[in-house]
Amino acid sequence: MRILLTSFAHNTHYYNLVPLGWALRAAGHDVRVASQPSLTATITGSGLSAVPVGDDGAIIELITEIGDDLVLYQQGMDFVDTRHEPLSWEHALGQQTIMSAMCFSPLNGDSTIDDMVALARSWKPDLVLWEPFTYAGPVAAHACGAAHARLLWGPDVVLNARQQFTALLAERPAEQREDPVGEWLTWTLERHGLDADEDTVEELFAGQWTVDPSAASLRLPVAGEVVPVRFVPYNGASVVPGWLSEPLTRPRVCITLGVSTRETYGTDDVAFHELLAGLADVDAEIVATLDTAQLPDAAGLPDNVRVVDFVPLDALLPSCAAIVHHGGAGTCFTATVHGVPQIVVASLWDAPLKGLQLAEAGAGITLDPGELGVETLRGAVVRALESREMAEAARRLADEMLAAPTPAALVPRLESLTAAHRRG
Amino acid sequence: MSPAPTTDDPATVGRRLQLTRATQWFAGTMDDPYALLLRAETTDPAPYEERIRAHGPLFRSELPDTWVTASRAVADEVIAAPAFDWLTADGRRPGARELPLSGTALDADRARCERYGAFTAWGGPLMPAPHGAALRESAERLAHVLLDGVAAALADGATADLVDAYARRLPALVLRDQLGVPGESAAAFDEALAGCRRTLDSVLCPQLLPDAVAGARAESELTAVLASALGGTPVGREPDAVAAARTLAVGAAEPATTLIANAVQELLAHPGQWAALAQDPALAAAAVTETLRVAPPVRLEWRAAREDTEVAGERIPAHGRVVILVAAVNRDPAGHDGIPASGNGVPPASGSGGGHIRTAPFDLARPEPVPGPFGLPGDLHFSLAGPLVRAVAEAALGALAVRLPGLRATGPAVRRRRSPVLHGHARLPVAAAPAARTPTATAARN
Repeated sequence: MRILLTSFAHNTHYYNLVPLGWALRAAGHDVRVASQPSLTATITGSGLSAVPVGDDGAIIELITEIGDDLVLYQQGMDFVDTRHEPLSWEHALGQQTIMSAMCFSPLNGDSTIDDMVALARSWKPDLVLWEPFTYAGPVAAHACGAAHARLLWGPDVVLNARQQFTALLAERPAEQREDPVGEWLTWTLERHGLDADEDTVEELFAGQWTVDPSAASLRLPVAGEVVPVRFVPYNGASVVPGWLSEPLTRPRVCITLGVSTRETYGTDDVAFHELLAGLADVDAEIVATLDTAQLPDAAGLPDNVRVVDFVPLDALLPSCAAIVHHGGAGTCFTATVHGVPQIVVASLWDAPLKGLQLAEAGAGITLDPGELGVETLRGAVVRALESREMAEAARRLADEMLAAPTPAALVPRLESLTAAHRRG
Repeated sequence: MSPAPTTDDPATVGRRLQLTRATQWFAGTMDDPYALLLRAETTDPAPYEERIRAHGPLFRSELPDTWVTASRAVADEVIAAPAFDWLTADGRRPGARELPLSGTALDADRARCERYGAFTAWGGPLMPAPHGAALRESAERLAHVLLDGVAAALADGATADLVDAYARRLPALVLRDQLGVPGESAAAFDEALAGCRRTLDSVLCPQLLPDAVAGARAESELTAVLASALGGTPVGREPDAVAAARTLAVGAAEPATTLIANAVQELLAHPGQWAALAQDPALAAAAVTETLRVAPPVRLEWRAAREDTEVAGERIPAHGRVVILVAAVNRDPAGHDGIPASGNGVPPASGSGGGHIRTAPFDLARPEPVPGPFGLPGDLHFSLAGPLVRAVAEAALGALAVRLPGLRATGPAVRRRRSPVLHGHARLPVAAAPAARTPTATAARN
C-alpha cells in the first residue's frame, strides 16, 4: 500500500505518528510524511521520507493577528467544566467557533491543503493517517479516494465536543443554526471542486476510523470505530545520557514542562527555581528538564536537583517514581505507559481534562497553575512518592495501554480497514 | 502550486470573518459585556447592557478602539459632536478590514448624507410624498393591499409568518412606490433589498460566509435595479441620485421591518394594548414611540472619532469608536422627564449576571416623553431613512390592528443570530381570531 502520514508542522504532534509509520514501512508499505516545510528536518531525522507541502503562512497570519495570546485562547476552550453534564448550545458553539478560527483553519492554511490535495491526486495513496488537527489529510484523502484515519495523541476532546455540538445543532431553529467548522470544511472542499454534504463533512471531521493509544478506561464517549493501538514512545532523535545507567540510591522524580510548551510559548506559568528549592528536603533525586531561559539561576539549586536540557522521557521514566508535568500529549502518554504516578500542572487544551482523569483514576494529582506554589507542589510530590495506591493505579493504566496491539501487530488490521474504505 | 488568494477568494474572506468572530467570542468568554452583546446569542441583551452602564458613562471594551455608553447625555453629545462621524477623517470605516464583505450601502459620512438629503426630503425627487402624513396615508393604502393577502392566508385559523408576509413586504412596497421602481423590476428590487437586510449588523458583527457573499451580491443588484429605475428620469442624471436612493432604501427597510415586528410583539405581550390600538388606530404613533423606547429596532448606534476628542472625561483617539446602547439609553434614569424608572422591572436573564433592570412598561396611554426616545438619530443615513421608518411603521400598525383585531402570536418567534444591531426577525408566526376580522376589514377600506 501507499500510506501518507500527515501532521501540521509541530514536532511533538508528529512524533506520535512515527512508530506506526515505522511499523507500516517495516511491513513493506510505501510510507511518506507530508507536512509544512518547517517540519522537514524532523521528519527525515525520524527515518521517514518527507514531502513538504504548503507553507506556514496561515499560522503566521494568526499569530500576527492575536500576538502572544495563544495560551489565553486555549484556556478559553474549557473541555473540563461541562464534561459531566450536557453542554449548553452557547458553550458548544463557542468551542467550534474558536477551534475553527484559531486552530483548524490556520494549521491547515489554503496553500497546505492545496499542495496536499495535489500530492494525493498525483501519488494516489491508499491510506492517509492523520494527526487529529491536520484536516488537510482527510480532505486530500477524500479528493483521491483514499481511506483515512486519525491517530489520537490524547483524549478525543475534539470529536466528543463535535458530536455534542451536532446533537445540539439539530435542535436549533433552522434560522439560528451555524456550524463554523462545517462552514470551513465546506468552502475548503468546494475550492477543490468536491461536494460538501453533511455526511462528508462529519466523516472528514472524525476520520473513517480512529486509531487510539489511550488507556481504554480513559476514552471519552464518541460514536465511530475506534481501533486501539499500543502507545510506543518516540521522543525525537535522542542520545541516552550516561548518568541514567548509574544505580539509583533513592526515588527519582522527573519535573518537566515538555518540549511543546517550551517551544511554542517560550514562557512558563510558574517560577521554577522557587519550586525546585522547595523540594530540597524531599528524599528523592529531582530530574528537571528545563532550559536556561526557564532557570536563569541554576547555581543556587538544591543538591538533590539534576538539571538537564533534554533527556528522552522513554529512557528516563522507567526509573522514576513520579513525574510533574504540564499535561502535554507525549509526556502524559509516555508516563502512563511506564506506569508512573503523574502530577499534572495543566492549562492548555485537553491537559486539565487529563489531569482530572488521572486524579479520578487514582493515578495522579492535578494542580491548577493558579494554585501552584512551593507548598502545594512539595505536598503533591511527597504524596505521590508515599502512596502505594497511586503507584498501583498508575500500573493498572499502563497495563491497559500495554494490552493493545503493538503498531506492528496493527498493520494487518489497517490493511483490511483500508481495503474496506478505499474508493476505486 | 499555491496560487496567491485574492480578496475575492471566499476562503480568505471566510477565514477572516471566522477569526474576527472568534476574537469577539473570546473577549466575551473573558467577560467583556460589549463582546457578549456582539455575540448576540441570548434573547435578551439587557443584562449585558446594564453591566456596561454599571461601569459608568463610558465603558472601554477589550475589543480594539471601542468605547460603549448607556448614558443619554453621552449619546446626545456624541451624535451632536462634529468630531464624530460614520467614517474617519481619511474616509474609512473603522473595522472594515476585519469584516470583509460587510455591507457598504450605508458608508456615507454626514456631509454626503446631507447632499443625499436634497433628493430624499419630503417632496423631493426620491420622496414624492409632500410630508409625513401623506406618506403614511399612501403607506396605509399599500398596507391594506398586502393585508388582503394576509387576511386570506389567516382564514380558518391558519398561521402565517408576519415578517415575511407583511413587515418586510410593506417597507419594500412603500420604497418602490416613492422611488418609482417600475413593476417589471419589483421582484428584483424586493429580493435585492431583502438581501441587504444584514447591512447594519455586518458592520459590527461578522456574518456567515454564505450570508456575507449573498449580501454583497444583493447590494450590487440593488444598485443596478435603482440605476435602471432612475435611468430614464431627470433625477437619474444626478451623480448622487442612485447612491442616495440606495442609502434611503437600505437605511429604511430592515429597521422598519424590525420596528413593525417589535411593536406587534410588544402590543400582543401587554394585555389590552392590541385591542386599544384596534379600537383607536390613531394610537399607532404612540405605539411606535413606545416601541422605540422599550424595543428599539436599532439597538446599537456608533460613531467614529474623526480626530482625537474627549467624551465624558475620556480621551477618544482618532479612529476610536463610541457605541451607543440605544435600549439602555432609553432606560437611563437620568434620561427622561416624566417616565418613572420604577415600573415593572424586567428580571435579568438567569445566569447572565446583570444588575436589576428597570423599564417603565410598554403603555399606549403614556404621555409622549420629553425628550423623545433616543434612536434613529437625525444625522447620517437615518436623516434620510428615519422619517420613512416611522411613517411606514405607524401605517403598518394602524392598518394591521384595524384589519386583524384578533391577531395573536402562535410562537415561537425566532430572531436571526449574528444580529446584535437589529436583533432582526427571522419569523413571527401569527394567527387571528376569525370573529373580529371581517366587519372591521370592510370598514377600514374607506
